[in-house]
Amino acid sequence: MAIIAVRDLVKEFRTPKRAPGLLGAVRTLFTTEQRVTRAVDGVSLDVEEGELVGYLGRNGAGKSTTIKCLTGILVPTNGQVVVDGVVPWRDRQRNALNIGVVFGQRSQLWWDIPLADSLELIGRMYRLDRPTYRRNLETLSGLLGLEPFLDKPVRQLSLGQKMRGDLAAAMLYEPRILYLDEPTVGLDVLAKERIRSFIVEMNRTRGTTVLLTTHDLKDVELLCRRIVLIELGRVLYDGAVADLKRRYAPFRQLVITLAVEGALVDLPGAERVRQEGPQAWLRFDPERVPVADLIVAATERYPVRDIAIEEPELESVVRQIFAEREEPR
Amino acid sequence: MSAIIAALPVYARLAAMVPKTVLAYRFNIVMSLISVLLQIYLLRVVWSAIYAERTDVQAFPLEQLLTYLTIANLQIWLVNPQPAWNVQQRVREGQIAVDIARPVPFPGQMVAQHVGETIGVAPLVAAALPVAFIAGSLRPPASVESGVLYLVSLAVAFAVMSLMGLLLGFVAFWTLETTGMMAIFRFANLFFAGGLVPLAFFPSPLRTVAEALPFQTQASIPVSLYLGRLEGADALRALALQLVWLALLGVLAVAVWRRAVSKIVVQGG
Repeated sequence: MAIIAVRDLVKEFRTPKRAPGLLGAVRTLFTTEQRVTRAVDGVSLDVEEGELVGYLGRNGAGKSTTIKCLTGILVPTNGQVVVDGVVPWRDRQRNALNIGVVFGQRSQLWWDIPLADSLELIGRMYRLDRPTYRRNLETLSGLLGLEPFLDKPVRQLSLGQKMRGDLAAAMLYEPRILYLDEPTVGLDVLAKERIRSFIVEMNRTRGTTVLLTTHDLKDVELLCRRIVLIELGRVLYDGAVADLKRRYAPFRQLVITLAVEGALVDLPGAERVRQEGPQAWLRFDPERVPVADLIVAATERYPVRDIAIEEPELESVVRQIFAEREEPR
Repeated sequence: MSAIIAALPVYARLAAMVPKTVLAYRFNIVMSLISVLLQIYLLRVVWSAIYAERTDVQAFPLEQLLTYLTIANLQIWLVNPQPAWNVQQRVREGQIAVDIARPVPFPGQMVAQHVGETIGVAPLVAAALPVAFIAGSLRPPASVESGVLYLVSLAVAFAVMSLMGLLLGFVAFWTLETTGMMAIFRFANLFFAGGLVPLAFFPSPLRTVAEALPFQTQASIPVSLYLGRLEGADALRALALQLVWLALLGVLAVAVWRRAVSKIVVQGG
């Protein structure tokens, strides 16, 4: 059975309709008219134990709202969610013991006290015995390099250090499921790298099931085999990253650098996208035209100095998918 | 309920962590404590003037009244509805998401924080006692028994205030904003607890209102016990009344929390 099972999840938010201006503000106090926003509109989703799934969508697509329903923070308007045998919002405390959550936008660490004290308190909250606590802290501290700032108050930590602290807090009690809501937001390249390798490590060695939302598609490309794309609160695509690319971006690009500038590059079975100076970009469908044929043809016809093949990046694929659709709301 | 009991050691830990952090805001705290001492002094000036012209207030001798006002005002300052601010802040900033995802119930987290904050601030009140003695007046409790009853009553008063603070804070789940309500609450509490004028001096309709409200648990009852103005059966009746309020507010807090938690909207994504 799937460790996370979501069926027809709907979450609506109701806000009073607000008229503009001072008079409007007064009228809002007495109005019963409400605006209903459907943030999640019938999402179904199964995640098997040990999977590492990327949950993608534009701002406001309903990603975070879904995660908040899965973690038991929000009560859904409709639909069923079962996470590790527990209905999250009905049994919050039991659900909390099974899951780790990291929100990139906020921290679960206590602002004014040292990181070590925060982690100690979390250890107690999750009822870890002393030896387990020490062992886990040591492992996580090693993996995330917490040692240099364990005794600093959290408010003095950099964003990257805080995020590492938060990841340690979420994994301290070895939850079976880890929800990551934009864990790399605002981080520099090295900090992102460190966090990605940590996530892979947890997934590989502990078999932690990971559901990740992010806007950085490099995260997904490096971490996830499966992605779920949502738009306007609905699932647009659910499947392998490779399949998505094949479906939406069947073409690859051949980049040819000529030794001598001049001739326009044309090859049978490939379409020239652009040419600048000695470099030419050609698009081809690898299903129809073998790369080897193109390379042979190119070297026969032109003085080639370098040939490179570019895979479509997930980012451009997703951009293309969203560009085909209109702006949400 | 069982979840709360199981979480007690965790709450104790949470509370124990807070006093250290309170000192980060010591400037604010000291300033507001100074304003309370000033308030005590001004009350003394006014009440002494009133007593100088009257002879028919012997039921409440001036020296006793001044001690009453000093303790009442310090206590109202110390036992404050901090959970209301804390809950509102966490709802407004969306930090509530993190709190709810923890394995111990949220209301208990807020009460634990309140306990920690109060313990953190208490030494400042102790340090201010000599000043309070000069600004107002301070006499020891009427008897050992009165002193013990006072401490019990003070503890119950704190628990009642914690629940009132929580309830006020829960309103933020619907409105996001409780500042205006808080201002009304703080004034109502100060006045109906008997912080400016003892309930004994209230004209009868107002006194009936005051005695029907929970605010009397905050100063009138505990300080009357301290001064020995409530003794024997009266003292026990007053304590029982405090406990009734505690139970009522407890039931109400649970009911409101159940509704509030399904109303959660996380601010800021």
